[in-house]
Amino acid sequence: MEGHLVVSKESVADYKDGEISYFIAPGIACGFPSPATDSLEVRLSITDFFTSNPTATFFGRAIGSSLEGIGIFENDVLVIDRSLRPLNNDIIVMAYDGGFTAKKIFKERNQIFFISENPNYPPVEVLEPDNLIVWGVVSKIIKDPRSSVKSKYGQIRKVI
Amino acid sequence: MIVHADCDAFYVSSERVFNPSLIGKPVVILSNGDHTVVALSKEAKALGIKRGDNIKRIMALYGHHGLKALSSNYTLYGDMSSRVMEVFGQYTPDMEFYSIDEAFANLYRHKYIDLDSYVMDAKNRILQYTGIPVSVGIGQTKALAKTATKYAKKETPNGFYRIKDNEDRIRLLKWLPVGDVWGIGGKYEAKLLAMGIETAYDFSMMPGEKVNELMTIVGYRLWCELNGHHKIDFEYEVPNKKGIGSAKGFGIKVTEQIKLQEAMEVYLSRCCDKLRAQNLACKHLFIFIHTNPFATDEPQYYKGIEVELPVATYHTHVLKDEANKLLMKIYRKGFNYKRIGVFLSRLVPIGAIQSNLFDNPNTERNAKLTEVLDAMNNRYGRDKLRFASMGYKHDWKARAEKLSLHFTTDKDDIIVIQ
Repeated sequence: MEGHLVVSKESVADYKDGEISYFIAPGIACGFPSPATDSLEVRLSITDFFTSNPTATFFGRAIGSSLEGIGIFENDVLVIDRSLRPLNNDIIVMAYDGGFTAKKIFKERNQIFFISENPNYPPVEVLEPDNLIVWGVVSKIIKDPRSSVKSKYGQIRKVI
Repeated sequence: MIVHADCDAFYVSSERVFNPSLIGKPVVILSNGDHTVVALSKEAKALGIKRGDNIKRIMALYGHHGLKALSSNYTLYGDMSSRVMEVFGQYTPDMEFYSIDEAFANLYRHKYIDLDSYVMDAKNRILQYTGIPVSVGIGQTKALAKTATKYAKKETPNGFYRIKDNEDRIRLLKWLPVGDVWGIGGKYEAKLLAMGIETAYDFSMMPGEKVNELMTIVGYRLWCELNGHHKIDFEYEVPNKKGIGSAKGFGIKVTEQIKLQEAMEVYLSRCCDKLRAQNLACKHLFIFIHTNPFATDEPQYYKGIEVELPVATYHTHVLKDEANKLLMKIYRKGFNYKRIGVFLSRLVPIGAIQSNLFDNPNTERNAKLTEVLDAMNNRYGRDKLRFASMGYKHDWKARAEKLSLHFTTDKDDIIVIQ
């Protein structure tokens, strides 16, 4: 019975110029059921790649160019997981001058350094490491490849 | 053992998580319309500011101390509250969410753990995950745990206290003024003070029958709890609400009916959202309008009116038509209106709506309309699809000029990192 055709009332009413339109009703069980039904799983969502701890996850947007050395560009969205303990080479978010900044950190014995990954700026030692308050650890960086085009040209131009 | 956790200066703390420039400064959070103080930081308390103070007055007095005032951002506080509660809930399923910033947990089953370090761990984790500091108290009963938290906030460096034994209990009760006991305030405080009852301990030593006589069963339960006997049960589920209402003051004087109607429909729409979120319908609708009672030189008018609907409904458009009929009946020209309120009551579950002979033949169409309305707005944002009469300008809205952003619920409002 595969390919069983059902002519619905609506489609009959749609006859135009003697043309016959058939309408295959999707809900009618005929033919083989899909062999995949037993194996269906929920489709991946963007959130599957981001966070294991939504309760402790916050988001921030990067502005300016001062973080480009550590791979963060204007308009990047930082996924910040406050449940993570900072490890070496992590990018952390911290309060700075009434707002927020991000730094790549490196710890050696009792010294903590901020690394800018820029040959012109050597690592900076944190003078009072006990007073360093980590707001959160950057767990992912979301980049929009078009956002740099947007900021350069104001808007995306259509290229045919 | 009962654990009680209470966020420290919750509204201010929530703001400080996303605005570090507020840390260490005196901060106050203002009421709807930016008139009075509803919450404040300990630095603001130290200046002598109290809840209910008028913003203009305190700004004139303390503005030069770097006092910061913010409009209340309940969207932010609501999300931060659920984050705090989620972390706390990881430690025990046996908990009661008492208010936006307080919770009780029952740790009777946690026999083989070191309670102090378990609770300190929870407290530290809440701070780390959410940025919100909490104080925690442990006691034999809910009332004693709450007393321990009060003590922890004021007298301990780490914001944690456990009532260790009976002597300890007595010491804390002697420390607590009777007016600060959970649920005792105002008129009972005055009565007790007049009888020479000054501390929670004095109160706990009163004969039980006398407490019952003076303060009814509610006071008696509290008395039992302070003496270490369980009398106040955990409320695990929020009891079904009796009604849903919204009443807000205007930022300007409103005289025209069309503006009153616009405001009423906006508030009604909020109420209907809440109604449907709980799968309820209402059978009773009440609205009121009034002028500003403090503007003594202006003519005053207050009127409320109600209607019993033939069939319970949850449709915004049906209730809107009813509300407009009511408003038409009570609106009078020539007054400066200050406030309008809407109240839905006689709530029933949507599945239990009883129709009658005179039922609206449009039931099915109504259901479809509301379904589409909710689906659209869930997807695209509140009021994106709205009744034209709800308007857009909303110049009558109370001021919230110092509102911080919706840092955790709106992707255009997330923190900026430089």
